[in-house]
Amino acid sequence: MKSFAVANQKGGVAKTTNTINLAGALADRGHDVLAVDADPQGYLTNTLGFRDAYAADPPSLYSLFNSPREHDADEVILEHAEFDVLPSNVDMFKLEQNLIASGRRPRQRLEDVFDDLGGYDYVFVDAPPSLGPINDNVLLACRNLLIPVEAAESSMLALEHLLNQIESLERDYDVQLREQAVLISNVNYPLDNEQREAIDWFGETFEGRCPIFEIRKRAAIKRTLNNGASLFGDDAEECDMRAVYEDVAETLDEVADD
Amino acid sequence: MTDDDQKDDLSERLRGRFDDPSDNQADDVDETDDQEATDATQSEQPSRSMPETTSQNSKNAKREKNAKNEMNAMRVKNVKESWSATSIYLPEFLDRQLTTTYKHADLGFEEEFGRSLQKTRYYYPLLVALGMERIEQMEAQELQERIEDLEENGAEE
Repeated sequence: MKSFAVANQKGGVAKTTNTINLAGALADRGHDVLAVDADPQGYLTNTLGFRDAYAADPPSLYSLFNSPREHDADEVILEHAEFDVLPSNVDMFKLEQNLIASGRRPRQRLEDVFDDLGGYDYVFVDAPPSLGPINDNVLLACRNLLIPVEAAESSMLALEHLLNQIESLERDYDVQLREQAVLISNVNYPLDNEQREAIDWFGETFEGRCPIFEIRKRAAIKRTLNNGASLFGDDAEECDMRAVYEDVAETLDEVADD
Repeated sequence: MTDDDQKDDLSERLRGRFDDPSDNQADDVDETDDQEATDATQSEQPSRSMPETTSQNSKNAKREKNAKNEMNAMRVKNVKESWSATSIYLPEFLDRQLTTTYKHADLGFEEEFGRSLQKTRYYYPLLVALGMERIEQMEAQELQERIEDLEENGAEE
């Protein structure tokens, strides 16, 4: 099972859009895929049409985090037309405080949940837009990172905070976290100077080290998502960015197995 | 520090994470790993190893290496935490040369060793060390001549 955190604490960098489309792309290649929504705001959950699950009583992802050994993820996982979904829940807003208060392996709960997952080739986790303990759980459980960014100066500088967090987790938990791809999202042509400079900077920084993909802003992506599907869903609109997600999927297929 | 410096430093740190796939220390500088780093960075596809099960022996070796590194002021893990910051004022033409010279040196270094010349960790300390080495050999008269050269360069701007 390969697990990927789609992580960047900066908001609005297309974490949810990328998570859904990558889950769809890998499922389209014939893999069994689980998409996990670790964001308490539940955008992925709601986008994919699981509003009831988001508002439901326990057990939920919150219960799994709180007592991974007492609940089975199968109790919470839902079936979507393309892949399975471990939905977020409104109770997740209480989670960070509880994790800190509990003191017992507060950043390794999701890892425990993943240890008991069976039957998936790929897990994609939509991380929350913050650098708190939920995000730490996601990074430690997945170890592989897909970093969505925007072609903007603010996105470049935001990486510094993410990098500090990554290095501190690596130090404290004696693990290696790996950036497996950078997804420059919402790219809007014609490029203005800021976008061009940012794309150049990402290129200089990651070229030859970590694959970079450019995903252009397309109304078709948004409309398809609003219909609760990825670009690989049966009724998805035609979109040239589907080919980019296919390229990312091919790259992820080449990442070494755990 | 300007935004550009911040971006340069960040870019170096991020690149450094891919320099040595066998070690999870971003800033580690074991010279024996040069060939491995070169292989990883020259490949089109990311040729990075995933975390391997580390034997107790290699863990011990790593600990010893880390302990040695902690003793070495040049091999500290985080230079910005361990070293003190010194501000210098430079005329704009020298500041530009500082950046251009770094870019040339970085390119040459990367072509040779497959990893970047880290600016904060190596370039600035080298500038100071090499500069002092040269200044120590110079007579006052020669220093005065170099100051005049600088003033001429400044006037051309």
